[in-house]
Amino acid sequence: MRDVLLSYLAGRIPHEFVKQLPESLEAAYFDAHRNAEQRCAVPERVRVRGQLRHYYQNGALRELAERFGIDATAPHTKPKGERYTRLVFEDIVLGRTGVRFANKMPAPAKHRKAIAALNERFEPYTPDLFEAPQRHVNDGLGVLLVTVHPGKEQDQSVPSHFVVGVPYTNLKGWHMFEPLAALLAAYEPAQQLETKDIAYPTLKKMLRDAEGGN
Amino acid sequence: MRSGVSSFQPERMLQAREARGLTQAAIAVMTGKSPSTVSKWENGSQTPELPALAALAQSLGVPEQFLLRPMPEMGASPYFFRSNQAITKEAQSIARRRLEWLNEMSIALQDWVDWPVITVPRLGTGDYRKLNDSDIEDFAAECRRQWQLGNGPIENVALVLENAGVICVRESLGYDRMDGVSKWFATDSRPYVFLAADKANGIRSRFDAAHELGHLVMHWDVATIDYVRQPELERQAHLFAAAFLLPSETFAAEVSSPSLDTFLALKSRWKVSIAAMIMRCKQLGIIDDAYAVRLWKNYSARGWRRGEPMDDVFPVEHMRLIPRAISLIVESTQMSRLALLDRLGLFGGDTASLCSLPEGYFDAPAQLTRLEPRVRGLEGAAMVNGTATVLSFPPRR
Repeated sequence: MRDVLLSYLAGRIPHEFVKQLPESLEAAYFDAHRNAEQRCAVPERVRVRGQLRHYYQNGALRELAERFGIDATAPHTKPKGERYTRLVFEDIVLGRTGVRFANKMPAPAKHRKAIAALNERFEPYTPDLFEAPQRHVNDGLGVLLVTVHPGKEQDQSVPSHFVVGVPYTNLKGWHMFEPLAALLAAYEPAQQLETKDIAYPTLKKMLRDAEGGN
Repeated sequence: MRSGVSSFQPERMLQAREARGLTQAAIAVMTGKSPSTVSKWENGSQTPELPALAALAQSLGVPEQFLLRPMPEMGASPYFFRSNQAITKEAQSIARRRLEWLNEMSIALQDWVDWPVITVPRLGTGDYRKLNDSDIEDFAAECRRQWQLGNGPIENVALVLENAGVICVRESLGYDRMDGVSKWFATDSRPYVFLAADKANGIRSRFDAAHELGHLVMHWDVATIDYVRQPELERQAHLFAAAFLLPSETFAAEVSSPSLDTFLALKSRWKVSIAAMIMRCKQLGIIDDAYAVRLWKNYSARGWRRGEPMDDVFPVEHMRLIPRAISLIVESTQMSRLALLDRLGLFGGDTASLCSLPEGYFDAPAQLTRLEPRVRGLEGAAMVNGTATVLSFPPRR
């Protein structure tokens, strides 16, 4: 499934956009760190930094998407909830989130669940034989761009990793959870370039003559 | 007064001792002689008696005849060591001496075979201090042009070197800070490269090979190396390797957005470490100092200082030239492996390792003992060819 999903994403999300993602998000991440350091006292800093990271990266993601003419919005969650960043690439809906270094799963916010709900068709379904089918299978693919935060002892100005994830509808696991580099690699499959092999010694002529007897 | 085996060659003793990384004191203990006697053997003021020669050869792990063979003139050109500056002199000596052995084996093999014509260009004539970075970029491009490598990733750097007539070996030294050594030998006017296999990292080894190529191309006329000169020579070879493996135009075009994830994606294509790509981006002005610092911080945060992702995916490039020569000689001349080993002058282990052959290649074939068939209870029974005796299973209890 990993390869299929990666090539599906690579076929619909502009390559140049993906290439510029890490730089934009890292810059936002760095700004969040710097502002938290400069403007907050130590007791408040950790909390503020986390929030700044989230909102700065959301803004950076939308801004980058707009530069590429990608449909990027910040809708309100329905039913009522906070605004979130939502990018649409044909039938793919992409959101973003952050997770702690040692934890793969994001908080189950309503807007993330709405994105994850698009992946229902990847999940097993046991039909009820006594009732009409209830399941309505959505088209599309819900994807989360996950920023993995650094560990406590590490430098807080740079994220640890960026990961592309296709979450379960209940947000308790991932159909795919791959580094952004894997998506980048899907645009450019490794080429097999052959080096011409001419590293052959040749038998000395006199030896050949002697062995050949003429 | 001199006594003992008159044809004993003290330079050989020194060579073998350094190749093994042994001290004179260690040799003294192993041979049961005093350190001063060992010292006298090595400085030529005394020669060992026959039994002592045998003990000395055994302690050095070389045949006795090896210590009687005069040393060839290796030439005055310097050995270029690619290593951490903290590396011990001992590691450098081992690498250097093994490169000399490789050269001697190559010369012995040239009694039967011709190596490929040398096509390593000797560029950078004159004073290396006058070389600027732009010259070095041009030299790397010239090598690619001359060897028709195009401007894309190079599939096999070791093969490129061997195609150009460079004799190469990759061996473990036991020092992981030592990367390689190269030299143009006067014995056959041919370039030789030794690559250390201790890091067991195929990506790293490719860069080492390109680095040594840089020395061979640019520094062939350097007469001596000292502590003052070495850093600049190493920097130039480093730049050459980066320019050779990651040509400015094509590589820069692929790194429109330099991030660690981009580099990781490019690693499988270019087969160059992410660290080298960051350095290259800085050289090419794709990133500034501040961004490079951020990348390095992120690099450390991901734990890549201890090892980058995919380092174990790319196998080490194997040498082909000498194994092919050995195979050609054995098959074409009906010479046995053991007879060839005798001509090459060292024991089988060293020879196989230096010739990039499988371990045990020169071992004598095992003696097969024919076992007579024996069936319990039928001793003495007449067995007739073409017939079989059916033995029934014992009854089950």
